[in-house]
Amino acid sequence: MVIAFGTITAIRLRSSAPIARPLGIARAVPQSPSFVDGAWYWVEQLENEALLVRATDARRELVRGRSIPSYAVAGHHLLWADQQPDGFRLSTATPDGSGTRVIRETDGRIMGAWTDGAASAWLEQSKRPGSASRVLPPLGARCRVLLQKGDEQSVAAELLEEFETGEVLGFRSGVLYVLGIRAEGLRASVIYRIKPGEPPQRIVGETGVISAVLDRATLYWTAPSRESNSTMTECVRALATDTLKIDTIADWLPGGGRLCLSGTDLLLLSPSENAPWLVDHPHRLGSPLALPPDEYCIGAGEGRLLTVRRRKTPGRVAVSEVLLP
Amino acid sequence: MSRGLERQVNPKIAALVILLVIAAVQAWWWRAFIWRPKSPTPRPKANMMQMPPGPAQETGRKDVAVETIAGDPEPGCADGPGRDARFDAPTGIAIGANGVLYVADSRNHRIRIVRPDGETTTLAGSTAGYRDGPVRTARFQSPCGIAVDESGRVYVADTANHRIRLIDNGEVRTLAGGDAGFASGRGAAARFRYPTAIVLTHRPAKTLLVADCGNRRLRTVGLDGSVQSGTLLPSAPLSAALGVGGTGWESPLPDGASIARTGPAISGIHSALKSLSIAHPGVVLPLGPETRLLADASQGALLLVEGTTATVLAGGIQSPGSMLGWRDFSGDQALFGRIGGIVQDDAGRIYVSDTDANCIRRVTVPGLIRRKEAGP
Repeated sequence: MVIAFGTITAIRLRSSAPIARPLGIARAVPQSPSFVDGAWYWVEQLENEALLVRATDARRELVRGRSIPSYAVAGHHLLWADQQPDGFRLSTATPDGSGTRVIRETDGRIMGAWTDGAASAWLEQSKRPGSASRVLPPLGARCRVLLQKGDEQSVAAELLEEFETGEVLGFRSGVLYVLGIRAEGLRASVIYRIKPGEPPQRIVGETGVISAVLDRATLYWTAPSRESNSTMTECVRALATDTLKIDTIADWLPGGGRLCLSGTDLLLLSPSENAPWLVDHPHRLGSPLALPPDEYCIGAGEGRLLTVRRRKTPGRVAVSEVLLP
Repeated sequence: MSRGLERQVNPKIAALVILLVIAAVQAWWWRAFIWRPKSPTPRPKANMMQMPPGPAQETGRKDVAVETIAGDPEPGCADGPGRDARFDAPTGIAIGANGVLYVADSRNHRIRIVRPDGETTTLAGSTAGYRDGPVRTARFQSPCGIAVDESGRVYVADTANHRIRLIDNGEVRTLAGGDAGFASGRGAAARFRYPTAIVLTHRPAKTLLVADCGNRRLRTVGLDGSVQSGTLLPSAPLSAALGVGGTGWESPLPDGASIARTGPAISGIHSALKSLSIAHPGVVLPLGPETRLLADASQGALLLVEGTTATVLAGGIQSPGSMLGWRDFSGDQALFGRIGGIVQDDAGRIYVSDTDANCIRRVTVPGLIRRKEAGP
């Protein structure tokens, strides 16, 4: 008994779990967290309203709305979409929430807002004119990809798709990369490469719901495992944006994960694991990182993790930050 | 002093305190080194290719074989042999001479050919749009329906272009239709709204029957491009299929367990479908006066309906819920996505376009009757 105690204790102490630094108490589990220019941002979806929050040493509410399906931060720009009674609105402000300006209002559904400070892009899912069918792909489905440079907005592409969720992954060398999750039937995920003015090119198609991130020159996404028959494992695939060559870089990873970039590290956050997995290219199996006990990782960025600790008090979630070694 | 202390400490209390301390240390050790909390934010599972929880209400027959002959659940666009080929939402399917399959590859905006050995090529289409001309540069937009005649002419319900297109001698041309609307007339004067399916009938003359989904009508189109106003249905027809001998049509209706058709109603079909909780019949293929194949639109099952009796041939039905998926095996183990089209070859084998699973699958049913030819 004593030997077992000692062995387990020694093994866990050797893992040298880092220490969590408290950031504040959130009113709901943070969603879509990101770390940009020294601050964490996330959305807290409450019963009847949503909060867009910024946290450095303390948590601060920037925006309130009925629902904030997407936001993006870069440079001096904060961009977010919020739901209105008769549609959606896209607004911009400085990262501290001042100088709010509405840049788009539509009766369609705005998804996947993205900005790099100089340009912004988002998706607008139009209401479908065609009748609902349980057999056929959605008739008359339209999803427009809009690009804004300065104050000028243009339609970069019109996809004949109806997405449950969509995301602009980035804009590299004049090309937009867009992820869309189809809702109907078995569901499927597709990634489009869009050069404004040219027909959109579908470069990735996978079954099920996937997560994707775009590095400087590489697109990464999760996919059903290529090596295992289990639906509980998945792999990570990569596409070089210049050659469009696809490679499976890791496999046998926990399923249902979300990819995050943290500096040059690629991390997989899985709902079945409290710690993120480091997708290490030469080692195809990946490895979990150490976390303080009781902490769950929900986000990553620039060498740090965002973690939460469940408390018994409803509506109070302790949010902390953990620096990666 | 110590004697005094010994007298003051109750041994029972001391033992209790020691036990409590040990329990506290154990609890701390367990929480610090063993316990792993559950995630507070469960996310959806990545892969949809799995059986849903709960037992199936009814599954297919063990003596039925299901195999994928072309394509893979991964959506894409590629020609090639068998599973190397890629489709994206194949819907309508027709069978031509020598068992060659013609497929409306809807989200790829192309018409594809699948040989019986699974070799897949592109017959016509490129990017989405509308353009007549040589097959390589012609454009379709979400074509869903397809028919082929004995001489190899291919008729396409070009759904999102609201037109009926003809592929003949390496050229694509528009037979009828223009902008979305409703009008009878000839060629470009006629109007459709999302035509979804098309079949070729020979009686009384060689004409096309079109499921005009957006106008809730079954329309007839002559080979000269003349379009009739057709028959108004209680709800939008999803598919169109000819009855035995090519004399009448049948079409499942999406808002109830019913099949619209020419002539008298099919006796007992409603109770047969209800007995299996079939709420959304999607595609029908009549094999005989009282026998028809039916695909359920929400459960991924292929059914045989004989008179008032419906049985599952392949796939499964679960209530409540869905058995959508993709798996080749015997009929009781196989899983289907939503089936977009059914045809039967001369040997009696069934081919289905699995719209969700992006592939063409062959279903071999021992003892299944062969569909009577609909020729003249």
